[in-house]
Amino acid sequence: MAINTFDAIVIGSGMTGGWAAKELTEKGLKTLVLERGREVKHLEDYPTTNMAPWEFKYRKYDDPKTRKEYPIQSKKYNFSEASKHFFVKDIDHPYSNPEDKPYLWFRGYQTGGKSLLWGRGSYRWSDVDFGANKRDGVGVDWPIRYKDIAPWYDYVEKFIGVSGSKEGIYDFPDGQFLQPLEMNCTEKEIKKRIESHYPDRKMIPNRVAHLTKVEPGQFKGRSQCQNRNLCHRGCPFGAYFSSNSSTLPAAHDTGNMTLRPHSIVESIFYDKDTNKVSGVRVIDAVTKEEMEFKAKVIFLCASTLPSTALLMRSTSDRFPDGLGNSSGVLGHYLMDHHKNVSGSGHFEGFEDKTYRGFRPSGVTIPRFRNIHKQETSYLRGFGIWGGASRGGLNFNQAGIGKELKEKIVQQGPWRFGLSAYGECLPYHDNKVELDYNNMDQWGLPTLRITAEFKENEFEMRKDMKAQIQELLEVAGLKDIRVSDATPIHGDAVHEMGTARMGRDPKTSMLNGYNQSHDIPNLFVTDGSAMPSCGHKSPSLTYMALTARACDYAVRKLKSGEI
Amino acid sequence: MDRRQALKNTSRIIGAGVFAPAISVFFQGCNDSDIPQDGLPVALSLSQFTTLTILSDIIIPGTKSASASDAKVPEFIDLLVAEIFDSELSNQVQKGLKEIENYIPDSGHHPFSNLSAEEQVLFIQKLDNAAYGKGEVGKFKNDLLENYKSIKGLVLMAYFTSEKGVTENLDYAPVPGEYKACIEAPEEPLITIGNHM
Repeated sequence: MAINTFDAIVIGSGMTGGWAAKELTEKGLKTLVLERGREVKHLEDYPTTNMAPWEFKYRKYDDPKTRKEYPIQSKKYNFSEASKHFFVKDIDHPYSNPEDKPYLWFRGYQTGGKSLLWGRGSYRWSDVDFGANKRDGVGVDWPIRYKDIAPWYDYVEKFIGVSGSKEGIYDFPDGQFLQPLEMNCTEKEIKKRIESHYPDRKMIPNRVAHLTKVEPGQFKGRSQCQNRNLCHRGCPFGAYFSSNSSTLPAAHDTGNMTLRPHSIVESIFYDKDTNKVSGVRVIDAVTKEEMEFKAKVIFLCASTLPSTALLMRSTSDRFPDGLGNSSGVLGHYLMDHHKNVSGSGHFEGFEDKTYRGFRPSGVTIPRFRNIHKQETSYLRGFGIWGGASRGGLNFNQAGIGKELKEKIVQQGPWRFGLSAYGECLPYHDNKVELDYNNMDQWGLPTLRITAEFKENEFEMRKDMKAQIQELLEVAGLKDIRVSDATPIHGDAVHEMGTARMGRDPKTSMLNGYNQSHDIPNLFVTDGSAMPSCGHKSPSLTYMALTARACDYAVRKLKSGEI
Repeated sequence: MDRRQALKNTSRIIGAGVFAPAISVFFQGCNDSDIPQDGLPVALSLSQFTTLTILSDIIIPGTKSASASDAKVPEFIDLLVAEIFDSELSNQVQKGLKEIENYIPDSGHHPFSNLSAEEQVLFIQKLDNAAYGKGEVGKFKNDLLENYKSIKGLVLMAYFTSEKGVTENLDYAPVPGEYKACIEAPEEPLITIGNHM
């Protein structure tokens, strides 16, 4: 085998690329993993992981230079001087949007991608999600149902480790859970109040990819969560799932993986004689040198917008509008969850109760709207997340001197808060395009992203706000405040849908195995494949779809069908 | 006059104690922009820095744990004013410090830095009471009350993000290990703090 020829090429090394790398290499394929950013090695490349606030020059403040270099990324809740090295420098990676349609594009260009930065929420989607488009006729029907993906959820959960409680909720299917991150005393009391008031609602521990227990099946070398809640600096315990701590080292251990960082894939080659993709052209991000690699099968896992852009750049006589885009849907139907509806209040009592440790999680009230039938004026639904905690340092209180010094260090009263994430419908005019008038430093077109939330989402938001208000009242809280800020596309970092799966090649890019309808050895398994966006964090579903697609691809390779 | 040069000169002349309250009044008219080399304030004038030091130690005196100035609170706020804060916030800090410095209390005829230590504490206590609605507002202008609250907030933030402030006062737990979800709290439960920013 020539040095630049592999069995498989995986483009991207984040949440889905890591899984494709692991699955394909474990199945014996010599696999090249191409990552556009630098290499971040588990443990070795987490420089801030143990740093105290006072070890940063400006402590919690961003360096003034940082704000200039990261004007978009620095808006994210988990961006700080302690984590900024896992975000892209906006000034190096420009994109654009219409002035009246702001778009927030959060990115991590490095091995592991955004798996170093994710919120770790790990939820099985249900047939409420997979059946949504069919039920109300918006978007194309998912080519799969829960039964198709359930075994792959099992498979992924056992490896990544998901903590959670079994609840028997139809729209929130149970999985292979490690013990949950327990609710605190106040949350347990609020759970009682909410569940005794509403027959159809539950408040349960959030489900997150944290090891509450080390078990066989998880990648070796990881250890139990130490409750530091400093995940976004990289975890020296490997306690939350990232590609860096788990899938990439597993792939490495097979001896079948070649990982090439600083590798921007310029385009994918299409061979019209065989109707297959044959390889990729890569630009070295540092040297700008160009090179080519060949493979029998290509997995595109570069995350929604970059994967879509790469397909758009890969044109040929057969596919003048983008690789595998005979349907014309490539780039359209961009979705994201809408958020920024939240509320909180004071919980009276339990002054004699507390907790210790920084639980990297909270509680959730799974979706309760439009589960079995359409009940509201808007389509689809939302979920609610939150938690209770005791008051921390309050820098705005009366008093001076010794008395203040003794008082300010005491835990304050309990507060409880909730916030909602809602589903967004797939709209044809929410889209991404290549902007050849504005090229990046590698000579590639930048992206122009046009997306907005519409009437259905705004109608849903009224209910999200009203339900949060009511839930906080039922919880018995005082001094309740509920707020609703304008949602911005991209802000939830759950962008998806621009190379969707579907049953009909005329209206979708991919079949139920994330395989291109047009080109049998091309698979796209990141968020771009999603025909609807549900309201639950999608990473677990991306991972399960990726593992399932790899299994299918290798079987088809072996049988000579691709 | 170039403020930094003036400070160095004075420091040499009087030998020590550039932050002694009595001399700070001389520097109020100086320009407020210099480069730090020598532990002198960068953005704040010497009188502002002096006032801030006194004020910080009244808010957080040395007890069994460090005082604000032991924890280098004034230096950190000076750094923030010099390099981080926008002009609005910087102005608020500097204006507030000037207002406190120049405020002539009913009981006396001298500005803040010339009061005795006891008088300074009494004055700040009165100002604090007024600012938080616990005492009469009297002659205090609203601006002063608001600026005082901002500066006090900064002092507390700077102290409780410093090593001494955190480790000598709070339950500092960078690696808590087990999460205990529901436990009995002691009479006065200390706030636990990790390495979050």
